[in-house]
Amino acid sequence: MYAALWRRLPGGRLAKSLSALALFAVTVVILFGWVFPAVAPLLPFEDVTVQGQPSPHTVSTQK
Amino acid sequence: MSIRILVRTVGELLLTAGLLVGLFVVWLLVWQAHVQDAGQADAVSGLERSFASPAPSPAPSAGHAPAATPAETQPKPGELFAVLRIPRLGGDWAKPVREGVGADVLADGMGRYPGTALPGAIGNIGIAGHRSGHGNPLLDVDLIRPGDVLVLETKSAYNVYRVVRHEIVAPDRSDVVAPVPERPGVKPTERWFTLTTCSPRWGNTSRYIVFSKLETTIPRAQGLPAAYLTTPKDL
Repeated sequence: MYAALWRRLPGGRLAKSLSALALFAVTVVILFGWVFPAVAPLLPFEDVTVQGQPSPHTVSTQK
Repeated sequence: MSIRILVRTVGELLLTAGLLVGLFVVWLLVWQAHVQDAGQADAVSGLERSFASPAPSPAPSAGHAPAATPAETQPKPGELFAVLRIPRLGGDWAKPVREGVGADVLADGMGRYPGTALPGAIGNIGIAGHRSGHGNPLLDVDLIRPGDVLVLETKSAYNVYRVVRHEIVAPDRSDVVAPVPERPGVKPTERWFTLTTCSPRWGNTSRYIVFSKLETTIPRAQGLPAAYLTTPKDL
C-alpha cells in the first residue's frame, strides 16, 4: 500500500520524499485538529460528574 | 504472490494502526493538555481582569458607602463566573469555573452542578472537573488533605473553604452534591463545597469526591491574605 503510494508520487527520490513528508504532516494536522478531538469523548476517563437524577433537593439556596 | 501482497498489506495496516495510537497518545498527553491548559489560564486571567474592573454601578448614590459584598447572582448556562484555586496543587493553580457540567463546559475547565448552591451560600455548591485529559486539571486530586484550603473566587468575594474529607464513590451517588452532602432531603444550615472528579486516573469506574466547608468569605475589596495561597508543605 505504501509502495503503491510511493510509486504514484511524482519526481525523483527527493521530490517523492518531500511530498511524502507533506502528506504525513497533513494527515497529522487532520488527526490532531478533528479526528482525535472527536474520538476522545468516547474514552472512559471523560466522566467526572456524579449522576443519578439531578437531586430534587435543591433547597432554597438560590434566589 | 498474492499471499505475499496480502501479508504485506496486513503488516502495513498494523504498523499504521500502531502509529495512529501512538499519535493519539501524543495528542492526548502533550498537545491537548498544553492547548487546553493555556486556554484555561487565559480564561482565568480574563476573568480576573473583569473582576478587577469596577462593576457598572447603578449611578453613584449619595455618599460613598463602602461597597457591601454584592449578592452572588445566578450564572447563565456556560457562563464563566468564578475561579477555583487549590494551593495544594500549586500556588498558582487556578481554574475557571463555568455553569453546567456538560462535556462542552468541562472541556474548558471546572463546571458547577446546576441547582446546587452559589459560592459561599448556605447549602452545597457542587463543582466537577476533569482528572485526566483536557489539561489534567485535577490529576493530583488525591494529594488534597483535610485542612487544605480551596478558594472559590467570584466577582464579589473570596470564599475560603477547608477540606473536611474525601471519599471514592460510585458514579450514581448524586447525593454527594445534596445541600447537606450525602444526606439528601435534609435542610442545610452549613456552607459546603463538593468537588467531584473521576477515579481512578484515566478511568471512570468511580468518582473522587472532596468535601469542604466554608471557613470565611472575604470581600474582594479586602483582598485575599497570601497565607491562604501558600502550598502546604506537609505531604
